[in-house]
Amino acid sequence: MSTGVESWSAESIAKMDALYPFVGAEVIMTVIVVVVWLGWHIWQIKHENKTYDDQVAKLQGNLPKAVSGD
Amino acid sequence: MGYDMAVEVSALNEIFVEFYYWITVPLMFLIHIGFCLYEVSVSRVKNHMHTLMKNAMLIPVVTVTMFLFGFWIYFGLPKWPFGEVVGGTTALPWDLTMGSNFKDHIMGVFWAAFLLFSWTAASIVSGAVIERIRTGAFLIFAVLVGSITWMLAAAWGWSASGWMVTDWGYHDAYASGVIHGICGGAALGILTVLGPRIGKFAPDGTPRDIPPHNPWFAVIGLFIIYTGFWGFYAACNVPIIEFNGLWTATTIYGTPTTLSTITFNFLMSLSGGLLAGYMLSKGDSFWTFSGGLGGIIAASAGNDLYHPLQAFLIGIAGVWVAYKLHYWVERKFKIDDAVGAIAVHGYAGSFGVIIAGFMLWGYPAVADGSVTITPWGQIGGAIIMFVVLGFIPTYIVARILKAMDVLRIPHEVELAGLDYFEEQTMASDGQVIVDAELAEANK
Repeated sequence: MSTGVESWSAESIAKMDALYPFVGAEVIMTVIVVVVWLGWHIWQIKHENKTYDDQVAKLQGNLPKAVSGD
Repeated sequence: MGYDMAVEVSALNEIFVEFYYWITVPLMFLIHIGFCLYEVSVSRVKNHMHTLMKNAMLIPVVTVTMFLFGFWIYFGLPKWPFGEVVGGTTALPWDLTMGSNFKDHIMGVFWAAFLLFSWTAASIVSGAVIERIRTGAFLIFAVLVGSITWMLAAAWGWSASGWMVTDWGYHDAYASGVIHGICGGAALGILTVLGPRIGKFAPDGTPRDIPPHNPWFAVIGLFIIYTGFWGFYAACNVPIIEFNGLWTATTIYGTPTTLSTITFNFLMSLSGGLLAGYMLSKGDSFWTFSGGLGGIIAASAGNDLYHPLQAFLIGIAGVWVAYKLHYWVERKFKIDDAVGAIAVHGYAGSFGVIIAGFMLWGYPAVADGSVTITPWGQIGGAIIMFVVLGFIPTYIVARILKAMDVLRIPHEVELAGLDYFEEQTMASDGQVIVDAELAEANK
């Protein structure tokens, strides 16, 4: 079993290009990272919206106190 | 084994070039530290942690998108939309050079140098919109400007094969327009939709000054940006290459310059900007230090070729234009640019692009001299940068985000402060610890 490089011999190094494991899986890795990236934005926006909704509810009736820093 | 001097020299040159670009990356990291310090110091105490987090989180989203598609735009779209998409798989995430690779030692370093420009681009926009934009909305703009529009600007106008260069003779050696013009326009596009901070304008429309909560740290932030700017200038050059039989540094267009030239001109334009900022603002620290930055930005388009005294005078003139325009736009259009980013980057940068067209009129824009620098090529370039790639994309996206009600923080939260609840929690937690300590002491 090997995920990539099997030898550091002079003969192997002369032919070597990619050093990382799972060469050939780059497109699949790209798709996974795109999903993670977009998913993070969606989560962040939902989390931020909920945070502000909660804060607005807590500030009802307390806004002058909050603005004055009490 | 025989000794081949040509091979040895070639290897040494390659190692020097790799290390040269690599060292620009940590230097440019200082720009982001400076921007964070500056931006947080300008915000009011009630918003400062939110301001820091907003700017810091642009790092991961811009980095990952620069890897996924941003860097490819530079190689793939220099002729688009008027010509074909080129470059094959170069800089796509699945290209073998976009990872650890024995046959390529430099791609990651180039990517990082461009990436640090991308962080700067997003960070310029970040400062203008503080204390009222939602983090989620800002991070969308960070990706738009940092990984898309500035990369398109670089492909078109900051590459020897870009259509603005080959067709118009566009010249912008240290990115007056390609980074600063576009980011100033982008900030203006967002602010036009986002609106001013509560209290910025009196009922009769008179602008009020919202002073920085820590002016001393704000100028230290600008000092750190100056320091990082050296890395930016170095990264804009090819350090050593054979040019028509002469070994020299070149610009990104492949036209000759020297390290000496940019060192002279960086310092002289900085000094011109500082003097102008001080004089215009009657010694205000914020505008004096911003003036220094604006001076460099105004001269950057032609700092590969100017005489130091020209760079000095252009620095003065650029800051004068930026300062005057800032207050005129603020009064006339009620634009609340919290850090003066549109002025220092957008107006000074656009001025710098245009003035280079007159100063360098007739100079070859590319190494083979097939096209020359002209005022109209530069004026057209300034419009492309500030308006077409700067203002319009962010204005459209801001309108969409506003319609979705995810652009601006709620009115109540803006009044209380973005850090209000965090501070309440910290105070409460702190009191619990004090009570516990008192209980322990009274045992």
